Amino acid sequence: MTMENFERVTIVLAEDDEGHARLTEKNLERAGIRNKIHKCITGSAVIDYICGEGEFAGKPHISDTLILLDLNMPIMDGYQVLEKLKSNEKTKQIPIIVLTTTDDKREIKRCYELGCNIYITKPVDYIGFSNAVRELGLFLSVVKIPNGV
Amino acid sequence: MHLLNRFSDLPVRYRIIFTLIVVVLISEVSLSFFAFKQFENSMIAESIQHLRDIRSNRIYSVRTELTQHIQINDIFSSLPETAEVLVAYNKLPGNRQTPDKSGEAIEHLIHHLGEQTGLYDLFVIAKNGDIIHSAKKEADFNTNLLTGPYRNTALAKAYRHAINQLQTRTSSIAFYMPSNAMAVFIASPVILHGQLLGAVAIQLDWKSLADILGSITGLGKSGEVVAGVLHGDKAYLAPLRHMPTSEMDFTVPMGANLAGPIQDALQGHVSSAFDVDYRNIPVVAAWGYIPELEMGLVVKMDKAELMESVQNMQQNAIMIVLGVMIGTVFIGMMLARTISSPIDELTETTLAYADGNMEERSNISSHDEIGLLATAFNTMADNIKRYNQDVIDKNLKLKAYGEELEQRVEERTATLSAANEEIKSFAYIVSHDLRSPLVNLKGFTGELDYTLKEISEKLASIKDKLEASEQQEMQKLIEEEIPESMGFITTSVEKMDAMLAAILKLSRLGRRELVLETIDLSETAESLVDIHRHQLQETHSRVDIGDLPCIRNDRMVVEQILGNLIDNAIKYLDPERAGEISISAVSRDSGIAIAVTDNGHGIAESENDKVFQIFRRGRHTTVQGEGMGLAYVQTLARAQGGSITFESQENLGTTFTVFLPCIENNEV
Repeated sequence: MTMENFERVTIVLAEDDEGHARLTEKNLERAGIRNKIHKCITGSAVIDYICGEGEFAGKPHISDTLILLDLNMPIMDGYQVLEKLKSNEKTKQIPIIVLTTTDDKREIKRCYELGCNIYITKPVDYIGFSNAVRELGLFLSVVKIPNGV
Repeated sequence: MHLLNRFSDLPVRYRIIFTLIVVVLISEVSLSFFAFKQFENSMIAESIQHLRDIRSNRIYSVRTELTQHIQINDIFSSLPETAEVLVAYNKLPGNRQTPDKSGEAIEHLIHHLGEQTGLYDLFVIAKNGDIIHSAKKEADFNTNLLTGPYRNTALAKAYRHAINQLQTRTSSIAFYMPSNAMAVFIASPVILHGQLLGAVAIQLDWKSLADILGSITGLGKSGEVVAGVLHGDKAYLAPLRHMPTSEMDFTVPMGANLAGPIQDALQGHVSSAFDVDYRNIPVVAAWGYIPELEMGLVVKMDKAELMESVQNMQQNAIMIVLGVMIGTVFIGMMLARTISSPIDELTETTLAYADGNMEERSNISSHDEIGLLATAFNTMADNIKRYNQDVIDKNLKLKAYGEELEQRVEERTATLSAANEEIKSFAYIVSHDLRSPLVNLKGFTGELDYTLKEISEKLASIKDKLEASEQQEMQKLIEEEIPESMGFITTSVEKMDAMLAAILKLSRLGRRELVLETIDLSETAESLVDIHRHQLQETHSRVDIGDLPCIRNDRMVVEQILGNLIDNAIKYLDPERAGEISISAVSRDSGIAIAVTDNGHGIAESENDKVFQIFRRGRHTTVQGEGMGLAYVQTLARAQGGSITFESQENLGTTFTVFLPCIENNEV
């Protein structure tokens, strides 16, 4: 896997808080991630985009996709999105990184049970958050994306 | 006693019937026994009297018969023809019988008398003993009664007696050879002008006497009259009802244990008694003696026949007893029913009532004891029903209260649950929703920092184009004013983040799943105190750990509780004096009470309400801390059903006591 391959990957940023989305975007950018970022502010928008429904009818985005998922979202929350995508044979290969504000152990456990690949807590400490997102960016740059090889 | 108990267990009606039967049976049997005895005695007496009467009657009849014949013989002897023929005979020499005129006349008379009276024979006997005339002219005719062959017969005896005593004489009954039959003779002297001429005699037909004697009229099935004469040492009995004999050829030896009555009668006695007859069968008999005939007479009947009526009476008596018995049982049943049926009715009513039918009442309206009892029962039943109704009403009220209470509890519980849920969701809001804006605040403050750095760099490149005063002003804004504002923002955000974290921790502690293990409280306390060793040494303070037991609980919880209490005790020690802290534990009821006592600042009474509130700290602001310690302890204690209390006096010290109930393994 090379950087060129990874650059084809679209990052789906599922986040209802525009501030958080913007901060995540900026930090990824600062970490050198130049990938296309698709923002969703509801869980169902994520499903529409991935599975090719609603607005994206007939245009699924299953390959070359990575999801940064916030748990607390309207219409469909992160858990539902996680459950739906990980229980579907076609979409279960898509890497999902849960990025959320709580570090509640039970929530973390639940996310891993539902099949999330990585769980990252959003720290209030800005430097910490920046570092986390930046590390995520580095991580994303080396992660193996299915169908994107 | 046992039988009496069994008897008293029987239903009333059986007891009444039984008692009646016993009473009636005893009186009836004794009465009938005495009546029967009386009857038997009177029957016997009556029978004996009857037999006596018959005996007298027969003796009288025989005597009457004899008297008639004696009169006939007297007439016969006094007839002129008789005297005439005897005179004529006595005159004849050689005593020879010669037919003459007088002889014809007497022959005619004898025949006529014989036919008229039914006599068997008539004799004219001369003074010398010659039988000169007779009606039948049997073998005795023309024989001499003093010297002839028949000189020892009854006829001869009667003749001799008559002429010797000059009296009419009746012979005893005896067998008379010339007639070849039993016979009785009556002889009378014939006297003319004071001179004995001879005698006349009549021979009675035995049959006529036998008919009188043998009549069994009034003697029932077995009775008879036994006539007997004594010859030598034997009693000769006339023909008998139960013995097929003719004439008097049945004999009973005198002195034998047989036919006692006739033996006694032949000895001239008159009596009556029970005895055995000639057949050796028990009889009741009355007997007498006819001296003229030297004849004993017994009137008797079988004892069995006499007793037959007694037995009949006995049978009748038994039948009557049985009849009365059945009647008694019937009456007893009727009586028992009148007594026991109200009792049964009342018993049924009572049983039905006892079974729970509170409406059951007795409708017995009599004025006897049962009636009173029934009335009392009804009154009692009414009272019980009323009391019961009262109890039911009260129970219903209680139940209603209970339900109301339950409903209130449910409502409160629902409210509490809702509140609890709100707290939980509050914790969630704290952890997610309230934290999100903080992330932005902090994040964009950081972005501003980046932006400010870029502005500084950009400003450096255009620095020369600005005036010195403007440069200074810009520098002050960029290096002092903006960083100061951002600093306050950052500090506040961090503080708020810490507070949210504290609240979140509190919420998590309350929901912690306990992991039970055996904890040595002494060891735990020592290691917790050990953390503060340096500080304690500096302030010359001392911690006294009492004899603490081992408990079964969650190690983290116990450490949090004990740690917070020890921290607080040390934190709020009065620096003016040496600290004295003691840790003790008392097992009580169903748990353990752990107490931590200090001699620190104490808590002012005005602060009592705030002790367990979150973010509250004591007035001594020099003391560091987030103000959550006691809130954590309270939450942890309450989460397992425990509690925390304290006693304090300002400037003297405080004792915090935590009670933790025993936790059964299966509860977790």
